[in-house]
Amino acid sequence: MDWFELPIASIKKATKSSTTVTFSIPESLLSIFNWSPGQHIRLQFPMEGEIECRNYSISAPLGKSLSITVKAVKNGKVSSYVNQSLTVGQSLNVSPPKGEFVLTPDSQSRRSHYFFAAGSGITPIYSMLVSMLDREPDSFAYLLYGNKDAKSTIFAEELAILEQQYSDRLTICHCHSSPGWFSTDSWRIGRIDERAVNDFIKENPPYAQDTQYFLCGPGSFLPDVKNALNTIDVPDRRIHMESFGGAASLSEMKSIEAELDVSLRGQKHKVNVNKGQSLLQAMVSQGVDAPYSCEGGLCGTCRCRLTTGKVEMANNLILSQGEVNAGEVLACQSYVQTDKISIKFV
Amino acid sequence: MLKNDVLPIKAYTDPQWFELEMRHIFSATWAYAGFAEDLSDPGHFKSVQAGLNNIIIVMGRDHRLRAFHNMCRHKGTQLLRSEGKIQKAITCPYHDWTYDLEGELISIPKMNTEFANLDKSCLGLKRASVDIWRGMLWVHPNEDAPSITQWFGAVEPYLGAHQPEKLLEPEGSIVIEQINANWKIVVENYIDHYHLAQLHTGTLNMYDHAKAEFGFVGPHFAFWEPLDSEYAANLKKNVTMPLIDHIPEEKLGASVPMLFPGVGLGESETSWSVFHVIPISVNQTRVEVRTKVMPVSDWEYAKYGMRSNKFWEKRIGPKYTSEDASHPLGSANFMQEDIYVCEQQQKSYQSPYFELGPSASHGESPVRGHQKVVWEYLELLIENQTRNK
Repeated sequence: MDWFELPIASIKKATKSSTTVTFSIPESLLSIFNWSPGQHIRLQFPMEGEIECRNYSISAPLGKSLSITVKAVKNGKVSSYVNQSLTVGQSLNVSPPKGEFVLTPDSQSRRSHYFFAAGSGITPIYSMLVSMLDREPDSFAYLLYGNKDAKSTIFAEELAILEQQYSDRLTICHCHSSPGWFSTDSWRIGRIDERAVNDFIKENPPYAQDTQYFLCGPGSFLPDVKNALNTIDVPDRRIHMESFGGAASLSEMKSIEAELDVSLRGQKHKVNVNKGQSLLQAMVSQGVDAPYSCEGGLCGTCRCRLTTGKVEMANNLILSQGEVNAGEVLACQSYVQTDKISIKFV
Repeated sequence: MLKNDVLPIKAYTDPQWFELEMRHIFSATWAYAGFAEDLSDPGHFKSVQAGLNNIIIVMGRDHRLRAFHNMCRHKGTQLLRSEGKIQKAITCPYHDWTYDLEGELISIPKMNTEFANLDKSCLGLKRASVDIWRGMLWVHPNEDAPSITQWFGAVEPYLGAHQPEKLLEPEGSIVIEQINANWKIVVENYIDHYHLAQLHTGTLNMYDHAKAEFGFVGPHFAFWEPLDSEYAANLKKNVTMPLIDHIPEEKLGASVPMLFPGVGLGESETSWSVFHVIPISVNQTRVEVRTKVMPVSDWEYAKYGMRSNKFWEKRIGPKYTSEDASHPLGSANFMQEDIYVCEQQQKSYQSPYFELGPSASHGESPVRGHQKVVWEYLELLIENQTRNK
C-alpha cells in the first residue's frame, strides 16, 4: 500500500464526542487524492510506539478540502486518540482514497437518492448528499438519519442549513433512539427499523423515478435496512452499502487456530491463523498481499474460494446463497472452524 | 421540400407522412401519461398509448414507478388494460406467463416439459422510462432515455409559476373531443397568435393579445400574455374562480405553451390544464383536456360566479350572434370555435383546388416554427422516400 504524509490543516469538534480533521494536500498529490463521495482513506496513527491503521470515510463534499469525521467510541483506542491528542500541523500517513461505495454526481441525471445513515455512518453519506445537491441540480434527496439524540447527531447544524437551502429537493427525517423527555425535534422515536423505513418512503415517495438507495451504519443496521428495502421490492442493483464502526457480531465470532494455505496470483503462501482472527487479518499481518477493500463484507474485493476446511462468515452482504454453497467466501469475514484451511484467489 | 418555410399540404393528408410521424416523433419522445396522482398507491397501474407503443406504468411497494412495454414476451399479448390494481405480479391472460414488478419472468406453466432448457432471465419485460415532471406522468419507450429535465429543462423558465401538485382536479371536469383534422392543424391552431383577437373576440377577451410574448425554445413553444386591463383593474371582483394563490401578481395572465409533440398547457390566473393532442389517423385527432383549480369548496366557487357574473355577461358572447348556440360560431365557447375552424381547414386540404395563402409574418410565426420542428424530425426520412421512388 502507498502511504503519503499529509499535514493536518484544522481540527474541529463536530459534536461533543466527535471531531472533524481536515488535511492540506500538496499540489503534487492532488490527483492522487482526488476522491469520489463515499470513498474512504486508510490512516496510520503512531501510538505508544505502535502504529495503528484505520479506515475512515471522507466526510468532505467535492470541492472542499479532504477531511474525516471521527466519533469517539467507548474503549476505542484510535477514535479517542483522534478526538483528544491530534494537533494541527502534525502529519499522518494516509493512503489514497478507495472504495466502491460511491455516488458520482451527474449533472445530466435526474434521480431520487434515498440515504439511510446511523451514527457516524453519516460521514460518507454527508459527502454524497452535499456533492449531489451541489452538482446534480435536477435530482432529489431523502435522508433518514438515526442517532441517540439531537446532541449526538453529527452534522446536525449543517443538515438543518441544507434543508432550508434546498427545501424544494431535500427532505431529512431524524430518528432518535433515546431523545430524552420533552424532545420534539425528531421525526420519530426509536431505531431505524423496517417500519421506520416503510413509513419514511411512504411519507416521502420519490419524485424522480430513477431511485438509488445508499446505506451506511454499524452492526445490524445494514442487513436490517437492506431487508426492509428488499421486502418492498427494491432490487439489489439500486442498493449501495458501506458497513461502519465494524459489525458488532465480529467480536462474537468463535474461531480456532489453524494453518492456512493460500493460492494467490500463481503463488503459494503458508499462514498461521490465530484464534479470533479473520483469514484476511492473518494474511495481511503475515505479509501476504491479498486483495481487499471495505473489510465489511460488502464490496467483494476479498472474495476467494475455499478448497479445504470450514469457515463461518460474520457479515456477508454480497455473495448469494448459491455462491456460498459453491464454496465462495469473503476473506475479511471468514473465521476458521477446522485446523486445516485452503483458499484460492481467482 | 420546405417551400416558403411551410410544410407541403401532403403533410396533412398523406397517410405515409402520418406513419413517419407516429414512428419517428410520437414513438421516440417523452409522452404525457396523465397526472402524478393517477397512481397513488402501491400496485396501482395504468396503461397508456404513446405513439406505436403501449406502455404500462405500475407503482411498486417502494412507491417507485416502473414502466414496461405492455407485451408478453411469449406472443406479445397485452398484459394489463387501462387502469387498476395488482398485487405483486403481472400475469398474461393468454398462457399465464407471470412477471414480477421488476419485469423479470418468474413463472411459465409446464416449463419443464414444454420449454426444456429455457433461460427465463432473458425473457423479462421490455423496460421503458417513466418520470414525474410538473405534477405530470411522462413515459419514454426507451429504457435509457435522456432525463425528462434534459428534454424540458430549457423551456421550463418560460412556463407559468403554477405548482400543479397544490391544485385539485374537479370531478367530471375532463373534456374529450374527437376532431376531424390532422394533429398538426390542431396544434398549429393552438399556438397561432393571429386568430386570437379575431375568431375568439367574444371568448378569449380576458387577456391582452397585443402584449403576448412567444417563441420556440428548442422543439417547445412558449407563450405568455397579461390580463386585459379592464378585467385586471377590478380583478378581485371580476375573477370567475379563486385566483391561484402561489402566482406572483406580475405573473398573472395566461401561459399557453405547447410542449412537443402535442402537449399544450393552459396555465391561467385561475386554472391549470393539459391539452393533450393524440393523433388517431392522418385526418383524425383526439383531444383530452384535464384541468386543476384551487382546492376550495363548491360554495366558494358559487360565490365567485355570482360576484363576477355582471362583468362577464356583457363581455362574453358568440362570434356570430345570428347563429344558434348549438353552432360552434354561436356557442360562445372558444374550444368549439377552434374545433370548427380546424375541421373546415382539413376539409379544404383534401380539395384538388386548394392553394395555401400567405402566412402572417408575426402572428403566424408559431405555425411555421412548429412545421420546422416537425420537418427537422422527418427531413432525412422524407428525402430517402422520395429518392427511392
